[in-house]
Amino acid sequence: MRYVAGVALLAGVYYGAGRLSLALQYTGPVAAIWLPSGIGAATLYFFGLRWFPGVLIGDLALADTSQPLGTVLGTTTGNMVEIVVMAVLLRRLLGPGGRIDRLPQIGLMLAAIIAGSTISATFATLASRAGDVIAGSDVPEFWRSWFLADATGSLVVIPLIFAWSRGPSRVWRGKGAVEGALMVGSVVGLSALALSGDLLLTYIVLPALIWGVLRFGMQGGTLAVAAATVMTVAITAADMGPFVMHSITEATLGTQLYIGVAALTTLCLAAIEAERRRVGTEVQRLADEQAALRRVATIVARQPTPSELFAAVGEEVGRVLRADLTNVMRYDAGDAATVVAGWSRRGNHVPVGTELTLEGDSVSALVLHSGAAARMDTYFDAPGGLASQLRDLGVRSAVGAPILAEDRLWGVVIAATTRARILPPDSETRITEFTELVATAIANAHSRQELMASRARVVTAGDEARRRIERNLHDGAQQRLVSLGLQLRATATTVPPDMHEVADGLSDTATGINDVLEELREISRGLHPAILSTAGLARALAALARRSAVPVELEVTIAERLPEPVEVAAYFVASEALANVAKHARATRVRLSASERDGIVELGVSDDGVGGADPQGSGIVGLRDRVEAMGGRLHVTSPPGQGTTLLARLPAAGLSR
Amino acid sequence: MWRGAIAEDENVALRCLIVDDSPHFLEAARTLLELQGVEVVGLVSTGDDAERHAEELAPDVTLVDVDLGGESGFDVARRLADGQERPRSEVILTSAYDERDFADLIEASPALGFVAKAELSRRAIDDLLSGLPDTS
Repeated sequence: MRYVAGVALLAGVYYGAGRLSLALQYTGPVAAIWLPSGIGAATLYFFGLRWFPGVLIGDLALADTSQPLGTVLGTTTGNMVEIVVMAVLLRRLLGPGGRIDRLPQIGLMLAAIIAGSTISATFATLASRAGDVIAGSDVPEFWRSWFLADATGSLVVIPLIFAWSRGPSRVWRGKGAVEGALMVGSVVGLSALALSGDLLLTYIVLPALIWGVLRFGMQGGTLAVAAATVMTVAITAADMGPFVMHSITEATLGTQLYIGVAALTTLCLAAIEAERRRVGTEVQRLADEQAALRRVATIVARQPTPSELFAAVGEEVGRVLRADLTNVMRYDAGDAATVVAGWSRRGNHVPVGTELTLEGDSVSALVLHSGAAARMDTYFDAPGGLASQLRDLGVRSAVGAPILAEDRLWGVVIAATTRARILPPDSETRITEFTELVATAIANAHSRQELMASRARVVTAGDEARRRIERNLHDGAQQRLVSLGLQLRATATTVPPDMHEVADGLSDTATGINDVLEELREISRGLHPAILSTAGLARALAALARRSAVPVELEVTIAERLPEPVEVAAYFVASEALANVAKHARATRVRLSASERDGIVELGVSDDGVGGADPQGSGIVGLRDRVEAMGGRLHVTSPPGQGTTLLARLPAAGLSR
Repeated sequence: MWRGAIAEDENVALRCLIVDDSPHFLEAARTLLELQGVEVVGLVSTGDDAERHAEELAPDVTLVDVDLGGESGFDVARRLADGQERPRSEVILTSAYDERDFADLIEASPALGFVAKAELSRRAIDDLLSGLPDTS
């Protein structure tokens, strides 16, 4: 039923176009511009050869019944072969989709049209001569007129249908509609003006055609050409204008060549314009991508924390792909992943730190299992918790690319759209290219983070061990020695007065024990100062200052307790620095300062000594290692003769993971 | 120095409570102090016990180790000082550490003073009680 209706519709349209062509016929057997062939060919091109009966019925309905039956059948056969050949050639040469926005495609389309028109003109000429409809002397002109009518008509109709086959483009919306009407109006107006006198002024229509192309692309160009065609043929048919000559065939030829040339020029211009726009878009895209990469590179150069870098990558991928939402995820053991960065145009994304199980369908699961870029264009009925979470965020279409670090699948970058928009087909390629470029930075940031954490763990474990040893010494050996000393003294008091040598020996031994105790205390202090864990950094620094051989000017503004590793690091930096001052600086005074602001502890030690400390010396290198292990920085300035200043900055917010 | 302290003030009863988490020290300190004429009325190792015994036994002086394992001797000293209704029961801090290591805290504490464990003697306690400068 649908097929019958379709065939009937096609026959109707074909017949109507034929009648229109014949209505605009000047006189004589051949129309100046023959539109049905192009319509038939375009229809069969898009919908397939099975609609062929519609074309046949329409063509038979248009047949000139005054002509001999053989002529009619021959002509119709020619038309049918023409249309089928054009449709098949267009399909072969251009593929499906009706795209003619490149110059080679214009050339191929022209070839198909010429082939079809040649067949039709030859059949018609032979049939007409055989039926004696035309005289032998008319054969060349008849063939030429027929050929040009079909070729020109198709050159107007086929691009028009192709260009509009995907519906009106966005340029026609709003103000575009007004401008479009003005453009078509000026084609009509200029055509009318050009054809109103006897002078050959048709070139004045060209600016309006160019307007159509430059502002509305292929759709504007084909529409403008169609308008110009209708005007030209209509006015000439009304016996007006420069194409009205003493011979109808000459008038026909003039019209056909004008239309043909105008159509072909416009098409070429439109193809070039489309190419220019594509290049412009591509250049813009590359520029955007370069800018995004540059921003990432700038951040990388600043040695960001991994989370800073991940956030930047997420945002830049979102911008480059014009996505609404992005996620950077790290794959964990098993089918699990952790969100390490999220970005969204509207600010609602899966929160950083979220741990997901990659069950069900999601781009992250697809990338994990394939190791390659993946896409999902709907989460509507995708199973799994992640899919439902993404649905809640309104995710419609998503692409993801693997982050490969040293040939290992480290994680995935995902860009998604919300609302109804689907990410364009080249999105996988683009996200993959971009991710490949930033993958090294991501991997490096991650390794650096791991290294930092392990360094901090090593140092903290060392500090912890020292603290434990100190405690054990204090609670064990020291207490025992103290007690033994007291016992000796107690025993000494019980010795009878006449055995004072024994009493003296006992007391000498007790004194010896006290000396050992003093040595143990010194060792303990070096291991871990008890006051640091008892009373915190400020008190510990004060105790340090009291013991210093060089007078210390103390300026400590830290009142509260800090994380233990930070206190220990700051204390040992101060202790080591003061020891260096005493050993090398020949200073008369040293200033020890400690303060905390915005989560950064600043420890300063500056003396008025001889300066000239070697920044590569083992003392300073050791201090730097200790400070940097905690994620801090150490600055040393020591100009000869101007004292030494050492400044350590330690993050007090604790250790990064 | 300590030898001079042995014979002094043996006729004056001085009642003393010792708070320390090291049993060795508690025993050694008691032996020594008792030989020097101090009446050691109690040996305890936690802040809670110290408070209770100080209340019940009303010692003239309480020796408190600054480091009682999990507890800070400075806190215990403060609690003893705060909880005291009668005057004249003094707290003296002790430690195996050097006095200089805790100088600030000792000064800030309500305790009368500090005696290093190795220097402990009746004489050292008496000196602090009589307001003499610490000679240890």
